[in-house]
Amino acid sequence: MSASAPSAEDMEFELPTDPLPIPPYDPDLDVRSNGRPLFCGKSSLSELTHKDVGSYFDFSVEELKEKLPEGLPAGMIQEFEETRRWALLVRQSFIDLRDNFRRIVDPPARASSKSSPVRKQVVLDGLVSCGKSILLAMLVHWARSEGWLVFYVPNARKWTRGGFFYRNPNTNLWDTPVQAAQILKDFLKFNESHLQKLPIQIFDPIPLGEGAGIRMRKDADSMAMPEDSTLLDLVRIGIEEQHAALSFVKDIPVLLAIDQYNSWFTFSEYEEPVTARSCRPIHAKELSTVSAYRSMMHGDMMVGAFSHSTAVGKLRQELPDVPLDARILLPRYSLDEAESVCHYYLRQRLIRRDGFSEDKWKKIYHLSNGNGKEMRWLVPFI
Amino acid sequence: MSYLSGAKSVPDEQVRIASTKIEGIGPKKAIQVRYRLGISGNIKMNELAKYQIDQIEQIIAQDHLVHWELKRGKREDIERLISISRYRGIRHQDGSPLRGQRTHTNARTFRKQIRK
Repeated sequence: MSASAPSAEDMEFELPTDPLPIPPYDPDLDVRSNGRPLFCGKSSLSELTHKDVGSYFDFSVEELKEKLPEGLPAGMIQEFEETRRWALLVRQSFIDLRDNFRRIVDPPARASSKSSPVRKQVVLDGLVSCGKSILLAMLVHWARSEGWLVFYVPNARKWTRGGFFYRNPNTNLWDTPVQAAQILKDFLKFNESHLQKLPIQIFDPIPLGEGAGIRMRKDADSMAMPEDSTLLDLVRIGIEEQHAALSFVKDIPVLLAIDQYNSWFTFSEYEEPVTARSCRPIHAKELSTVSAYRSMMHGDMMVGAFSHSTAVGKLRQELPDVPLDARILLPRYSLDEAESVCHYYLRQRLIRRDGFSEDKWKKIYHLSNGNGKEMRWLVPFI
Repeated sequence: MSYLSGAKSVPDEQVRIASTKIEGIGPKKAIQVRYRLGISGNIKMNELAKYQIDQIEQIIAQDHLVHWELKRGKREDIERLISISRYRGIRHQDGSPLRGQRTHTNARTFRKQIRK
């Protein structure tokens, strides 16, 4: 579902400093109905406060490509393309989630009794098109701006289908070497500068194996890491050898961000032949790549976002290896948020000005039940 | 153009489609062969290594009747029915349908096969 960030050369996008080229431009449109500015005017996601909720934050193309090289969620790309501006609504849910992880890394001197409990592991759930993937992408953007090491998986479903699969006799799990190589390449794509700074010391030689598509090495069954190696060297070797990848990061905050997380709680595309005529479907938890990252029962910060685009179906409330209080149900747009969104679409000329009124945008809001995607589709009919 | 167990296959064709081109291998058997070797549905023929193609051919040759062996098996079954003068053998010789169909009308397909 995710795709690479569209380049600015493909479409004519409005920049924060320049209005849309089509005249006439009315500066009154930069203000919401309550008199507050439509754009928050902040330069980074770290500066946002609860007062900016309901306004729009402008991204820069270069930063998006730099902070999210794995690709943007489909909903985000669609929003940018239809409004022709690299801006997103600031929601209270993002501020809360960001502050939650901020308090983990930088706990306040005095813990307030009114503040909500801190959660290291979070599962973002909610209705269709309520903003889970976009929220996760914004969180990744913020975390990387803060200098964190972020392992972002925009399409977790890809780990459970395609390529080769092979049962590892040592672990009894199913290895998927093609996916493992791609995971390491993606990890290296953004985090190269961080990995260079992190020294590692692995005393035991790393065992090498064989798998579907990869033959057993004739010369060695293990490989030793030289002294003064860095994490970058290990990841590079992992890519070249396609057999090993480890992380021993302690110096900087680490965040695991997984989109389409619910696809790891159902069956994969792979099957194991049982008899001459029947096959047994392999569950995602039996895959070595998935089993390494699925569990949230650890001390690291992790966010998993569910997706309704993967046809997983309903999962039970208490998921295995997930803390009971980890689930957060994201709401759809509230009436105030829908007001900001409609005023933004009016400014970006998705809505004709002569037909715009409070009754009409409220009708659209109630008709779509706060679904952002449907609202964007319906507003041109105002 | 490459060959998989005697059947022509296009390089960018998926393995699950190319396997079914082999006479005697249908979609179900193609899935069984693939899953035994750990090959998923979207892998194409040009992504396979030489030794993987050899493994596919080896499994097909070991566990399945294909090509001339399949045809020989079918022919032997029909000749056995003819040699022991069974009703079905006589119907095979006459070129008439043998599964209880009507012959007063229709039955053109079976008669066409024998005439060939």
